[in-house]
Amino acid sequence: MIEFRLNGNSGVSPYQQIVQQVKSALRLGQLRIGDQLPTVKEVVGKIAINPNTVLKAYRELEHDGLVAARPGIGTFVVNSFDETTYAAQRMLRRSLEVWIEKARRAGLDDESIEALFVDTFLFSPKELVR
Amino acid sequence: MIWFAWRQFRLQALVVAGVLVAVAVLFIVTGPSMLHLFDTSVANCRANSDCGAATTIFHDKYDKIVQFMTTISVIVPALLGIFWGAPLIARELESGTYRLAWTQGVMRSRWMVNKLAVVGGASMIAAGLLSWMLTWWATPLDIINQNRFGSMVYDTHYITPIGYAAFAFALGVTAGVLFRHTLPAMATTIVAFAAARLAFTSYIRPHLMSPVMKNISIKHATNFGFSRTPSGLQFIAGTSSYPNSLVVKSVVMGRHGATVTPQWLRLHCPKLIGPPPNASIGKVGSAPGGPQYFNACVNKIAQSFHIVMTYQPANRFWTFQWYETSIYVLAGVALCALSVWWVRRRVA
Amino acid sequence: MTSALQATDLGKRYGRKWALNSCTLDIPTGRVVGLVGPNGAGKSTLLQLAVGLLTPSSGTITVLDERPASSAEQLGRIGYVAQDTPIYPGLSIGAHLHMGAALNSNWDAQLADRRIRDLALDPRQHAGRLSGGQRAQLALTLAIAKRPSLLLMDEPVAALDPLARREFLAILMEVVADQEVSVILSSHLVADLERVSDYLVVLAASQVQVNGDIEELLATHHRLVGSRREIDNFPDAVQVIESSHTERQSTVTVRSVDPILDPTWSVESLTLEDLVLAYMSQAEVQRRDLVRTNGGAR
Repeated sequence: MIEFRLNGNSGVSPYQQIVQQVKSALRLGQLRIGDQLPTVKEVVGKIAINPNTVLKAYRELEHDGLVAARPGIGTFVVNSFDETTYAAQRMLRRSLEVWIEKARRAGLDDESIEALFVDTFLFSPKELVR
Repeated sequence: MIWFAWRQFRLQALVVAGVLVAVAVLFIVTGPSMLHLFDTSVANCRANSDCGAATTIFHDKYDKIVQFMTTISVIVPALLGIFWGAPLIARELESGTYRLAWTQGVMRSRWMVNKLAVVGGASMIAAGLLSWMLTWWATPLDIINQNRFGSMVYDTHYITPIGYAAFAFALGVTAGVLFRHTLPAMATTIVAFAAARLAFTSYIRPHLMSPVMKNISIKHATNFGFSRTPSGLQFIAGTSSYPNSLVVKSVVMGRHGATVTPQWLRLHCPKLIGPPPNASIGKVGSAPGGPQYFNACVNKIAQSFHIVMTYQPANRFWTFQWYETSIYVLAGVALCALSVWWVRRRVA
Repeated sequence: MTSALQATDLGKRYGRKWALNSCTLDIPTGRVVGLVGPNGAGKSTLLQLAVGLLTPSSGTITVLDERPASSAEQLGRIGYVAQDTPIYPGLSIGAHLHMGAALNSNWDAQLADRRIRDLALDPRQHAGRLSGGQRAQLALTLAIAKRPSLLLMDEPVAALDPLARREFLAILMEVVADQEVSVILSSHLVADLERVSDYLVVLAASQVQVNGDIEELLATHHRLVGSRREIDNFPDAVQVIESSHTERQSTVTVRSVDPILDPTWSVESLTLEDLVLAYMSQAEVQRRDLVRTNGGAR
């Protein structure tokens, strides 16, 4: 599990430091998808800072799509900051946008596009065919 | 809450308990032999007409220890007031622990009433136990001395020490609350307690009930004589025929409030030279004149004068004990109420 | 209940000297409030007034919407740690916990025992033999085990070494994360307050100089640096806190809700410490002026 450190003199606000440390850990692979972030109580018990600071940092990470809070259980990493995955995602997103435009030009309305996609997705093989 | 008041008080209580045990041991060790000596010699002395000798032996043997124990018993209530009462609140104020005690989930007044009840109650019990032990142990002596109303017995036996302890404790607490420091509170408590006790004993106790006045013939006086004072010769007479009573006043008076003045003596007893200075009552001294002039003078006095004794009879002893104890206890309660009020409104 | 502490024109006088003067505050619940100011500024006095150990000379104060020390129940909802953490030296740690249980109806014995165990303290040890840090932890335990709605702490870490200080604040933050509790914590160390507080009250010269959410305070206070000039022509909405001038340069600390648009100023943001110092030095300047004109302090 990741441990946070606070640099009081860095000029960067405490919550920003936490956000940056999580992102850095993701990049370096120290944090992986599915890992749980320490609870707010655990964090403040180690570095004595206001719990709201931690909450704010976790909320921003959630807003960035990197973590998700599961009520009663904890906060978990749902997206890696791995550069290759990020690049692949960008590429896939662009392909999808092209496909959607093609579907529109073919005359499909929104509901038909969605139905076509969901149908194809559900019937696609679950694993990569090698 | 009671538990905590006791817990803070535990050590002080143990110290006094230890002292009481030591006293009890002393009494148990010496008591039976004292009783034995009494039973064998003094109890039968009237039959053998040697009471003087028997009581002298008794006094010789036990006087020192009796004085010691009586002194202890007189000062114990004051000590309880100083060591249990004065620090009770003063210590908390002095050391700052009141900032812990008064911010828990109980009101200040309840906290204080609990402490007063536990420690005040304990002081009354301690004084009562000591008094009970002393009363039992000193029984032979009290029978010999026949002076129950005297301070040596009245102030240390039976129930009055309980009242004194309650009052001394309350004085200590009040001083502690007012001075906020233990040492000045202790000093003030000693002084105030001593002053109150002296004042009460001298001025109030003799008048707790209207005293009885009695006229006694000089011929029935048991001790009488002349003494030389700076203003001349004086005649003094008294009687010890009223044992266990409290004599408030005893004067020799004649018709219309006249007294035996030095001028009267010069006029009516010219041949009475009088004793040398500092001679004790009843002795004429080495002067010409001799006993026949002494007796003649006394007879002359007896014709025109008599003793007027103001006293509290012996059978009022227990009434007085209850009155005095109640007054002291009520004074103690009033002081405690004052301290609680002070702590609630003013110590801030 | 929305107010943890509300004071209106609150004042406390000792003889002729006012330890606290015309204080008006409305501190909301759910915050960790840092009460900061120089020694003798009145922080201790304010906290003691809040907990009923002192009575006001003027004005009013309510805590959790009730008069301080008005009932046993109200006292039970406030945890107070006094300056230099008084404890009974002759009593054991266990006896102190028993006291807490006996005197507080909301006592959580399990929490108290667990805290003492976590600190590796022997309940039988006499409290007089504890170190400063351990005493502070005992006092904190006594305050939090009664499950209060409000914690008032008077310089609890002032006399502690850095490690003890960190441990104390960490435990405190755990409690804040765990329970719904408001905290008012006084200190003269801004660095500590910066870590743990989200609301600030600056007390200097016996008066409240500034108070508010730290985020909002930092967003509305700026340091302006520019060429030397007179500084009395700011718009009304801009409040000058502190200013200093060299031959060629003026530096001004201001409070302004709206952004400063004057291009002749270079605008910088402040740290919390800068902000506190600005108010404290302003108060000191005012105090000295008062002494000079009156020939004596009020």
